Amino acid sequence: MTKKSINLHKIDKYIFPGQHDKENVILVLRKHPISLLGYALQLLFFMSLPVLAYIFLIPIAFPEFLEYPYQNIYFLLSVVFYGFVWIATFVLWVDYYLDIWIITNERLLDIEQKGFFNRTVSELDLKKIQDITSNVRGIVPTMFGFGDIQIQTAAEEKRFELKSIHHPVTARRKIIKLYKQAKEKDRFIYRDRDE
Amino acid sequence: MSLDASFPFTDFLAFVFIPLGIFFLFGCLIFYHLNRYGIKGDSTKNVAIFFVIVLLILSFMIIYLFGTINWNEIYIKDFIKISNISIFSK
Repeated sequence: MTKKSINLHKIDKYIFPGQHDKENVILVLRKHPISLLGYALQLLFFMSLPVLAYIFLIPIAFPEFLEYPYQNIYFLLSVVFYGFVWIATFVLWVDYYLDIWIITNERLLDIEQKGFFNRTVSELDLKKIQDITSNVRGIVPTMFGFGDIQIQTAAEEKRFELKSIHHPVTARRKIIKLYKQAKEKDRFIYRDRDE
Repeated sequence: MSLDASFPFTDFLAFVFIPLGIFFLFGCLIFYHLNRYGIKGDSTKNVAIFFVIVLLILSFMIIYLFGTINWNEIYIKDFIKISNISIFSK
């Protein structure tokens, strides 16, 4: 699997709020877009409602809505409705876009956005990782190449879960590599102190 | 359309001012969140521009369609009269 396949290209230019000095972003992970499929189908259904109503319901129940001025009122109401559906689409997109896992050379950040006014940020020091598991379950995740990663910390702390991410196996290997680098760096720091 | 006594303020409020106000409010909220919490260097700006362009087109369509209707001709009674469904006729 190439580096490009998990959006590792030009990753050094990423900057996120609260980034430490000398902290480099290594991986930015989001849920696979396929997880938005259910919402997309719902939005498509809502977007087709005014058209379907105009074709099937209006000629039978409200025939006058096919003539001026009521036809224009119908169009006006439809456009207002489409505006709200468009807003709802973007609220969902922002929720998806800001729901993110950032892996740097120091730590793992789990940012969970729920609507506009509910945001949870959890942080895990890479050196505290004890166990890391990736799994791809089912036909659809296997076909589209997405799955989950579970990270267990050394202490009895919260178990980190990265759900429905792209290429979980590659991401897991990358996290393990970063963990080893962080441990190695930590060992050198202690050795320097002892000497 | 002139803003004289015959201007349909109630209809303007209901069909134009309030929907566009809600669009503006949500647009600002979305931009605030993308700017505050978004990752710089991502393709956020292009998506946000696309969102605003579509929202602007819809807003202009609302204003245009509002202007095409002679609101003095429209009464709620007509809505009741034109419907063939019995629940509205009662």
